Amino acid sequence: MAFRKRWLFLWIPLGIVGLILLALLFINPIVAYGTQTGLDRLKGTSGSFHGLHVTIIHPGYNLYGLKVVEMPASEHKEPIFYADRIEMRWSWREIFKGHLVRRVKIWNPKVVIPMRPGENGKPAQPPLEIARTLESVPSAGLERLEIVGGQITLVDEHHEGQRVWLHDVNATLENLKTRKKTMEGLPVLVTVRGKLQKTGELTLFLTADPFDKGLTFAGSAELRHLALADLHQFTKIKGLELPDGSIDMFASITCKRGTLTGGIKPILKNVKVTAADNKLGDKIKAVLADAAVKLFSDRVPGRNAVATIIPIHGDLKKPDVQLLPTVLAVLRNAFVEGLSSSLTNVPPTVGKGGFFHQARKALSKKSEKPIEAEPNK
Amino acid sequence: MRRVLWIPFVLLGACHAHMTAAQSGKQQAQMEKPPDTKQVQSARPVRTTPGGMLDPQAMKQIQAKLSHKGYQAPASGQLDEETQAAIRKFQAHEHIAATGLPDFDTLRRLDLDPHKIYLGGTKRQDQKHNEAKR
Repeated sequence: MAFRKRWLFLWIPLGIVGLILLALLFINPIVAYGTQTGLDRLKGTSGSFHGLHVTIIHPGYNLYGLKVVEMPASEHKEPIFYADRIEMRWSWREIFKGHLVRRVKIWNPKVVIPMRPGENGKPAQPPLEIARTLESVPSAGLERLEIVGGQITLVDEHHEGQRVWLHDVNATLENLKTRKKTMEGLPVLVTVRGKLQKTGELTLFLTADPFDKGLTFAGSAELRHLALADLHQFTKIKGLELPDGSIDMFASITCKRGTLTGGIKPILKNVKVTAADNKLGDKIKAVLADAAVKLFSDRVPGRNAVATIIPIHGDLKKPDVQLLPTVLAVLRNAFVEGLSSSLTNVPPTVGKGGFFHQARKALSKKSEKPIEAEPNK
Repeated sequence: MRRVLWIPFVLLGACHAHMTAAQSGKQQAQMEKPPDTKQVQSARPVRTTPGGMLDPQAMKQIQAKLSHKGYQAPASGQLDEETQAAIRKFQAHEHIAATGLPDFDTLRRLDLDPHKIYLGGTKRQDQKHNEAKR
């Protein structure tokens, strides 16, 4: 009897060690299978990865070379998402406390968003499947999400070659917890820095309270020194070019329980308008537009800046509205509006109605029409 | 007499140029910032700019820590361009996202507690004071 007991004492620990070894041996293929199955479930896309590594002592998961391609493959044939490495980390201490919070870090992600023409003449929108896929990624329980060296390209499939390129993106999202108490009085914090096209420097600061009764957040974004020449694909309209000058844009928004207010201030600096072709009509248009820029500038020595504040108002009270996609869509709408508004109001022949109509509009005391904040409009 | 006559004119001109430059500097600083918006009240405070979340005293603490670690930051109490550049250098050295903005992880790596520094943090002095008042 004593002999049997002695053997049991030996076999039980040996069995446990054996199980742990087996788990260590097979955990990588098991998790890889689970990840591939998860990727296969994403609608409208096909996903693959180069490798995967799971760690147990410091609980973590590393995914290498993740690639997601839109299905059926679109014309531009670029993956809609690629990342060199995605690292997820948990802490045993937090797990034992019952908090499943993660730290996620993504190295060099590249996102291509094909913008398709909206229905009934609405502006271009990303495909619905991609938006739904992004929304399905669980975002709760995040201690920190970090992006290093990211790139986002918006490709307008309707207009060949029109691309908005945001690169060198470093971004963080912190404190997105699942329980009020664990937030310890601090809001969700989002910080972003990146480069828009070749010259524009973009920074974003956002704070949000996910436990308020409605969508509640406040934030600001700044875009500085974006050379208008970088936007030649958008500004070369009706025979005009903007070879010199730059644009700065400053936006701030607050949202209390779904009611959104704010403003965007685009500032055009040292703008010079020239004719794209050698035609006489284009040259006359360019001279008039250039004169208008000088007429409306603030005449600060060494700088001819043209500024206006466009108010933002909106209602985000839909019950299924999500914080981050909504905020980003609002900011995108605001920046697009700020850019198009400044280019439409200042160099008059670019916009509707010709020189005198635009001059009258710019001098009118009527306030600007507020931007539609709803991302789906 | 004729030789000294031009001196007041030169001085006047210099004064005017200085005032114009100062005025344009102020005007530019006023112009190049996000438009003012109404603050919203919330249990976990939200603000539009880092300046709203970090008071000058907190910013000075961050700047002191940066300087202590060898990253030159002026003790201005503002998140100015020099301070942002210093934060960016520090973040790059720590191999974390170099945004130039003082996020919670950056503060922890600077040996500062975000709950003591950020508005709304449970360990802030004013928070304790307000709770005691209640």
